[in-house]
Amino acid sequence: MVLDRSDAGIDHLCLLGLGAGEQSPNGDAAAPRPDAAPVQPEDVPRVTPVEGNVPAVCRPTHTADSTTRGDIGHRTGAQDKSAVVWNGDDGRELKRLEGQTAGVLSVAFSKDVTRVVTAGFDKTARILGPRQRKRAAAVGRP
Amino acid sequence: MAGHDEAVWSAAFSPDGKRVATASDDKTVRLWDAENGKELRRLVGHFSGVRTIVFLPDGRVLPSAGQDGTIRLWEVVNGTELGELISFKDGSWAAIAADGRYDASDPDHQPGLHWVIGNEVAALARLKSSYYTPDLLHKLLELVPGGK
Repeated sequence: MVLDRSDAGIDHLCLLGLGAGEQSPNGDAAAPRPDAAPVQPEDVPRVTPVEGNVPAVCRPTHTADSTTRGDIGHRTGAQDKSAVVWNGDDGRELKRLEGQTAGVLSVAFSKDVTRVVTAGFDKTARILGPRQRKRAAAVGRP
Repeated sequence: MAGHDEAVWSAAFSPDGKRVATASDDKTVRLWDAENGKELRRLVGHFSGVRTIVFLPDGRVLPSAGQDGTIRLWEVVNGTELGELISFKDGSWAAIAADGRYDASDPDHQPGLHWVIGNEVAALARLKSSYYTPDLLHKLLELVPGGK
């Protein structure tokens, strides 16, 4: 079977209508949450970087309970090499995740919110969390 | 976690937190051990850069999508490509399994979708009796070990 035309590329996958699939393999169903509906990026209030102009790309990622939010912003002229974890309630910056040596394209939490993974233009992905803290520090900052 | 040959556009933890999947402009999806950062598997199939990746909530299936306009479904445990999903601009859609079985909004005629048998191009309807599989997506997902 061959597809001889390519439609526009896909930049973002968002899970919808997976209510029945919320159960984990060992059977303990995730408690239904009112905020469990997938959040389209457009629906999320953006946190604009303090400096620079309006971010060209903004792909927020939420933790399961929506209290903490990871965010990346590409500022005009220079891609940010860090990702920022925000407080979902008041938009306060909780943590700046450093380590990538070029612009960050993706940031995601583990389900238990103990770790964050960042990935980007430097062709690498980095896990940041309690266990990796030493290693991340060893990478060092410029 | 280093190994990709081009920019990494998307990363995600598996629901159990033990693995990380990454999607890259190098056309590959890779699975990594989240504990030690080792590359566990390389998923090859996309024709161009992969831009987004997400684990299904049960952790067994990993959909990826990108510049080739397809969503590919990968079986996490062994890296097998289950199939691909395509939505066309006119709203029609198709699901194609790795073994050729297909489902489509119009199983007889889908512009842009055809068979290639040797050097011959054949219309979609010609092999319909052998390969058309209604509800293919659900059948594919059901076969993944650990499924309901």
